[in-house]
Amino acid sequence: MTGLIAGEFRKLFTTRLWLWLLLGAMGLTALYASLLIGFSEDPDTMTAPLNSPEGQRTLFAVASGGANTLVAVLAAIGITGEFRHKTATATFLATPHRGRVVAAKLATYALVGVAYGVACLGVVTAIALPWLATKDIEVGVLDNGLPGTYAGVIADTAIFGLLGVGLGALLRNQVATVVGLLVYRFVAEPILTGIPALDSWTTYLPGAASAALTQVSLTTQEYLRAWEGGLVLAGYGLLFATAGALFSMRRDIT
Amino acid sequence: MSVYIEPAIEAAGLTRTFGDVKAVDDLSFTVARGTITGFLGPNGAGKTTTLRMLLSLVTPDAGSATIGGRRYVDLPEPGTVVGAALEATGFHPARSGLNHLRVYCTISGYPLARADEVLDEVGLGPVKRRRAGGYSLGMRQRLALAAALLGDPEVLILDEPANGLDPEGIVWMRRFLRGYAESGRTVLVSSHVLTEMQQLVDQVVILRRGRLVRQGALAELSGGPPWSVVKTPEVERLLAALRNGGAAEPRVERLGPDALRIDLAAAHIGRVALGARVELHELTPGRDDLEQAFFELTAEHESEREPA
Repeated sequence: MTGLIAGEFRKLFTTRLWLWLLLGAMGLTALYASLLIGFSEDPDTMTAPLNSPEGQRTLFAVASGGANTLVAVLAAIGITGEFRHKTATATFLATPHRGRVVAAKLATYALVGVAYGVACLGVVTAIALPWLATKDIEVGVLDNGLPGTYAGVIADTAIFGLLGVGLGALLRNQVATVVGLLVYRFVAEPILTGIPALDSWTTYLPGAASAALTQVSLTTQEYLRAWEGGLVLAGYGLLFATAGALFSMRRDIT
Repeated sequence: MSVYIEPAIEAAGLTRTFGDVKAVDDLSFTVARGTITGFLGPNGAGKTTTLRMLLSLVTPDAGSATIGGRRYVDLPEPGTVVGAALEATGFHPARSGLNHLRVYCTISGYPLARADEVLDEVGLGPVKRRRAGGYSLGMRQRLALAAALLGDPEVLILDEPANGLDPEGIVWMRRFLRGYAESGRTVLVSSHVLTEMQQLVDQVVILRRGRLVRQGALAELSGGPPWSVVKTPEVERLLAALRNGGAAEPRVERLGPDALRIDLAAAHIGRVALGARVELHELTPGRDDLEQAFFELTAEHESEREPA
């Protein structure tokens, strides 16, 4: 299995997509962090003040929003690309047990998610510490419950790697998977969670479960406890991956 | 010691249907060790589906396919037993040929230097660091072959490897496969371009509409009665001379006012014509070759055509 995972990393690092999406995730994180700090003194702001522990946790949690969808996109492309570029033939010739290929990709993209999460937390730190210092706010990076937020962000971005692989394994089609992911994240779920009558079950949707992991939400929606959110989110990823490995990955490679 | 030598490849009752079409229909054949076997049939005969069933990429509806006695999916290190080059398109366009092969070295646990070795073997050394997306079709065929060679396998399975190769490349491929088989290893190579096969294969497995038409040595297949094409201004004199000289009346077909197809060896016709002082303008031995035999074996019969 280590050879398989090393092979997946070699696939990843021999094209440039990981780099562009990482830069995109870091850029998005920088944008979110800057907006949050820039408007922190606006009287209409919904977030807690940045000198409060809650405000600081909210600030560091933007790394999750900056990275998670792009991790899922990278992971989805990593598995659906095998079919798009027909490398699935060579991949399944080298590893005829297709479930092992899916498992290796799950492990690989969870690790990639960890790396993206760490990088984006680094971006928030690099922006927040000097900027807040000018506002006479000192951030103790190990205080105010921030380590819990880091853990939440990293768990979140890792689990989004599982989600991307799982959905890709199930759908196999690259365009359908990536478009589906983006439409779901930015259109479908925000609409569903905007309906208060559905609150009792929309807390179990992936986006809400993701917000639960960092215990930060910019909406008024209730969310689960962090570990519950993590389990729900990982559950989606593993459910998709298992269904994908059992059904669609077994189909003919032609 | 057993005298029975297990075949390298064995298909037994392989069947696969796509929708209403029986792509492969109760197909059984064997490929003996140390041979180059041509897997022949017109386009759409089920060759690719069969090869993919041998490699556990396509699941048969019925029957079994084994390599060295085991299903491909049950081989612990498949790449060291069988190497397959199925299509010249299975590369990420942005990845170099070298990196493509290194991925599979890493997965299968071969040293990375093996990628360089096989690229040199197939003549891609000079372009190995270029993006595979920029490779010509011929280069892609070579890269697919290089991937098949990575594990130094006992058996090679190639699907239409000559597609897209220029004449020089085809000569190269033929020589390469000959050398490979001469070391005692086995090659199964599919093609619909039969003239290439004729100079390469020892054995043939011929497929039509998913069914086996013929399996055997190439020599048995292409040996037919001799015939010749003759052009002469003195058709009647030649025919009279042939009737006088031969025991049985030869079958003659008129191809034109001065051209005939005669079911006799060219050497015999030439000798008779010389003896009778008949002027010949052309004397060509007919080629009852693989292509001819293949055409006859795989010809569509009116009654079998699908209703339009």
